[in-house]
Amino acid sequence: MSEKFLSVKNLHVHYVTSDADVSAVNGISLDLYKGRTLGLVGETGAGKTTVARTILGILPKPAGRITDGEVIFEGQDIYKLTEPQMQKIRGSKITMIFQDPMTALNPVMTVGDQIAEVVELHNGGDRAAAKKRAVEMLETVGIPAERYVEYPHQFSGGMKQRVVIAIALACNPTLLLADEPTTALDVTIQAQVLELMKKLNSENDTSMILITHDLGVVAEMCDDVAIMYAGQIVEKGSLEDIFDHPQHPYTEGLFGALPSMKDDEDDRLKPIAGMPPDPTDLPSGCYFHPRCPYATEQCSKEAPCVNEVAPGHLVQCHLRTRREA
Amino acid sequence: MAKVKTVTIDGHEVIRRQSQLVAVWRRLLMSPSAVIGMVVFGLLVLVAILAPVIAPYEYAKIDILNANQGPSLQHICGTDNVGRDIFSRLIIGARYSLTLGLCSTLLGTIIGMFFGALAGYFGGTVDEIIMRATDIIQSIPGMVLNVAMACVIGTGFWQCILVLSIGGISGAARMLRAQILSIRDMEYIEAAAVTNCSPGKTILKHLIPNAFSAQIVGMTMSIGGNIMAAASLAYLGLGVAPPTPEWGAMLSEGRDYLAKYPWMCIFPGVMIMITVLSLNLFGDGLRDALDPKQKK
Amino acid sequence: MSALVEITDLKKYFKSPKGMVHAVDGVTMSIEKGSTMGVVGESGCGKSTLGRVLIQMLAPTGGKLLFDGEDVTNLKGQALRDYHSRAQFIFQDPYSSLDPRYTVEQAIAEPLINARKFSRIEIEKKTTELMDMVGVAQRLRQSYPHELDGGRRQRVVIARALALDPEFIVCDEPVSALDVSIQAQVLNLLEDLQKERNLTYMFITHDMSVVKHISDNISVMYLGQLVETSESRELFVHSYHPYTKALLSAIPSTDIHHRMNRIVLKGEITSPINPPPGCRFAARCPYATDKCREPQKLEEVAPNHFVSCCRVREVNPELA
Repeated sequence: MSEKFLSVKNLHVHYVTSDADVSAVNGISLDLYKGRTLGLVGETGAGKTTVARTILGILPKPAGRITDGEVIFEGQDIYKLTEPQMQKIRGSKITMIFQDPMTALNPVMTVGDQIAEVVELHNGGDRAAAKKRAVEMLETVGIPAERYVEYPHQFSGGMKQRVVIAIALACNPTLLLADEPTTALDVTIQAQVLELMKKLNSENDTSMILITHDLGVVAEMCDDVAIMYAGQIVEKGSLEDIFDHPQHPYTEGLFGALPSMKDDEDDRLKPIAGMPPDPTDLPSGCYFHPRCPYATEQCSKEAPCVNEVAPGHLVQCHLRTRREA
Repeated sequence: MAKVKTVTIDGHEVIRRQSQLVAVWRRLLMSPSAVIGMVVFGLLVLVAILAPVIAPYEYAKIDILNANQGPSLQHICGTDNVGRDIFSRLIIGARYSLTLGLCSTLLGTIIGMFFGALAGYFGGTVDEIIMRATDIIQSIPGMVLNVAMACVIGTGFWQCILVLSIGGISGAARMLRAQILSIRDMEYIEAAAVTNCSPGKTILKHLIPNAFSAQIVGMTMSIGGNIMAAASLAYLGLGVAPPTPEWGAMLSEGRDYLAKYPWMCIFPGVMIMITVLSLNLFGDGLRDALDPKQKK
Repeated sequence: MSALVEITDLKKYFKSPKGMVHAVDGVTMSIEKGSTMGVVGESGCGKSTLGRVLIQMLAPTGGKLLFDGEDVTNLKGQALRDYHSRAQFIFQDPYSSLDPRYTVEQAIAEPLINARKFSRIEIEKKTTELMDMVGVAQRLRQSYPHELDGGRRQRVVIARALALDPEFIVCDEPVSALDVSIQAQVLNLLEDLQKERNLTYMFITHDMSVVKHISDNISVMYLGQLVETSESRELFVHSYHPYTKALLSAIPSTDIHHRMNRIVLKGEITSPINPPPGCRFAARCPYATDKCREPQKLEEVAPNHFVSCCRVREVNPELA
């Protein structure tokens, strides 16, 4: 396996406000290898975006607090870095694509200048070189160079997301965090954007963490998959591990709830019962036990530990522990 | 979270909330600034009600020998240019000023909201006509409008209220219209149409309740403004006629003596300020309390 | 089986500063009683406008709308209110389709109150029934929408739509704002209700897997026009219109072993303002020729399978 360059260890993040203590991330560990794409899958409120924001060091202040754990990027603990050091990494080595391209761009600045600005910030202020790079990036993402001087409102949603991608990739980052990059786009446009991201990542050997709730997108894009539930990774493994042999009841549930595109008889969907837990008041034991069809008494009392059911395939569930034994 | 009680209806356990009013009241009490505003304004109202009992002197009694005296134990706020006790005048004046501010604002807001709701809900030509009318009213300087209206309607206390309310109409109409325009596109307004809600009911039950909170703050602001405007009218002899101790009128009387006997202006000014401030605090708190999304 | 809803050459244009927006431009379809017609397309294709015209929330610019054999194209007053007790609408966003100041029971009771023919006790009773029917616990009667999660809110919206016992419901992306596990719950609920009460649905969505799951027939829209319509399963096996093919191939599949050959379309949806008379898709179509500049007609290429493409036989040699 190639070089491991990002590693998150036992990360806990809380959002503390005057009236609530939200446990957004509850002990996440993950490793990312050079040139690979990791899919972070989960429903609303599972803590996916918080993980990405933590890695990028942009947790909302003052509410967001890292209560435990560390993030090691290229051998450095990024939370031991000073803000100026972090700024150097952010935007050049680690970049992020946000979900909504409509709000990610500055409406009163031409798209070309927005790309050039980022480059200039990281190349020591060489204006001309930055502009040249911006033109180059526009063409890379399939926007003709003459649109450099246009403003975001003159672009459609798909084109805006291309600009956002151009900004994110302009400094040749080693790590790209993509937070639902195609959720706001139509399928045919999504197909174009995914294709583009795939191509650029393989050309530049960029590693990516792709945050999404869409298992179809994961299947297309990712090498490894981590399934998140209530701020924890409940199952993690290669794409084949997760899609061919899902082990955690929640993962099974996600697949069961998905309407099938295959041409078999339309059987009834199997939704996961109940609702995701309230992050200010998480259940005891395994966080999934109130919705789990296989839950036993043990599940409501003890938090399950992580088991390796196959090389690299980790599951956090009592059921699997018992099956192992 | 709101106190949750459960009661049984038809054999079902139901989370029974307190009535809307009680819930709003509870949320209001959660905000210290709103409580301060409410208490201060409450005291002012109490003073106005009990004015004749509290006032140490006859408010209109002229005592030339003791004119222009500074604050002392006998006259805590001093006396004015004809020797009337300013403290007594302020207390009696509370009745006039508060009634004037409240009534003119309320009247103006209600009329304005009516037009604003029509303009916002129906849009098109109705909107065009109402908005151009408010444009015309707003293009006339406020004072000129007030003077013109006072000439038409006449002078006196109640006339003054009417005059001032007219100035508030266009502002209230515009504000409500803007709120309604942003709410009108919400799907729940479309939903109301599909569930056969009549336009009148949609405006009264869906649009206005959701648009009202911004209006409340606007109202509390304009109460102070109206007290001030009444002062200017009084100065021109078109408002509340002396010797009625309306605060604004007192302020404008005192202006001539500002350099030598500043207390003639300071004390009425302070009263107006306290009123406006307490109303603003209260209004802010009330706006938040009226929002059901507030947790507490 | 008979058609409950029949629309003929339905048009809805909007005025805009740049010209006429042809949101819906000559749509003809019929929906059988008790069936589900899925309408798919990308944003801006006019599918939501079509649904709103069907429920008479928008007045059509042209064309005819028959409901149960009666002409309901331009209803007003009491006739419109009567129509709304038979045809209802479920909105996309359960966060904005409920008034934040109305409790669950007030929201559900509103259509009943507005109908002015039920007593207070009847309204209470019906509200209770409706809540049971859609699976919202009675203890939430007096909760406000913001205290409920998306799935429960959408159930309340469904209950409100069902209050007057309609026969036909237009569902405008009812699950696209919900998470997968909750989405499945709501889809199952809609299916159960359809079976119990013989409801007819028009199901508007951009999600092909959802539409395949729930629909009996599917119509594919592009820029205000139907490009292909057929029985649901048939469409996923044999799609003939180039746009449908591209749309189907663009869906990310969860099947990691059998990859579809993806047709990546060039460009983006063109402007709906004063569009040229020819095929609307021609600008992005890989097969477009001069012939495509002429107006297109829906043509039955297989039993109950209509395609609006003049080159359909050339593109699909198996049809020739």
